[in-house]
Amino acid sequence: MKRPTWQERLERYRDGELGESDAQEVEAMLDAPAYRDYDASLAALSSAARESMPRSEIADAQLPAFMAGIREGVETPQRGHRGFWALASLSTAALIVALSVFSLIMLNSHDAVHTTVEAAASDIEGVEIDTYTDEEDGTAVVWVSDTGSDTW
Amino acid sequence: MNLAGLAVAVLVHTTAAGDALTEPVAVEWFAVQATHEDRDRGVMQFGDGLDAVRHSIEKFVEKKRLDLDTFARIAHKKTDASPNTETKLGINSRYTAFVMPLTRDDRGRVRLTFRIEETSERDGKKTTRDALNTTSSVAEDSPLLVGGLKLESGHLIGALLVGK
Repeated sequence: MKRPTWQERLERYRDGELGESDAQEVEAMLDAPAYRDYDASLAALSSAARESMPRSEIADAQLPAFMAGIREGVETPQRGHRGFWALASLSTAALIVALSVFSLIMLNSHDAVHTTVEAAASDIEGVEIDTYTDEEDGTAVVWVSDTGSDTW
Repeated sequence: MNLAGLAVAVLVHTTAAGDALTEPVAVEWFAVQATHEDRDRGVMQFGDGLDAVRHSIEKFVEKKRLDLDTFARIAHKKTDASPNTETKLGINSRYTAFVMPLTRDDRGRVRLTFRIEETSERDGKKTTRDALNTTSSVAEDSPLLVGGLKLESGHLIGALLVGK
């Protein structure tokens, strides 16, 4: 493992990262002017860095609003997701009903303009009866095809 | 009311049988003799007085590719048909048509029975039978076409129209 340089040991001492015995060694080193100058420059750098950091302070006039915000955050119950699912369920149900009614209405309006045949019969023997409704003009047709087997 | 209940209610409402008629219904009847006269392919000839039903007959004959190209009116009647009573509509000595309005549905269609009676004479005695008996709901602008019954020459095509 690489042994830390004296600069690194001084920096760790400044940051309070050294153990008690190491710290005592570094304090002994500081008797020497070279070490002491480097330590002084570290102290100046640290001080300048602290001063350049933005400070957030709450003025006395802001304190009531600040505390009110905290109280509101603490006392207001957390919103659950029940409301969302209830709304989603209701919307889906309404959509299904609307589509059902729409399809029934469309079915009815489709029939309304058409003539339709419910039933058709003949006493003639052997005839075939064909019924259909023309989807375009709504005309209904009942066509009797005589197969020629009637003996009446 | 749950969704199923609502659906049933709507369904019952929309499939109601209709309202009983209290007033006679205006009907117009055309009886047409349709024959094959070997005209040029696709050319149909219609006699006088068939303008109201020409389009419907033309379309039907073309769609079914029936071998018919000449159409002549043999009977026509415009009358008011009383509800639940058969009104006689003429055709010829062999066939007679009858219409009986029953109800009017909520879309304005008249539900009715329409019947073509065939008469035959055997041993000096007349007998009849239903050559065709149908129950239909007829819309105001859409005729009920009936046909196919044999005539002395060609086939019978009938068109029944209803008014308000």
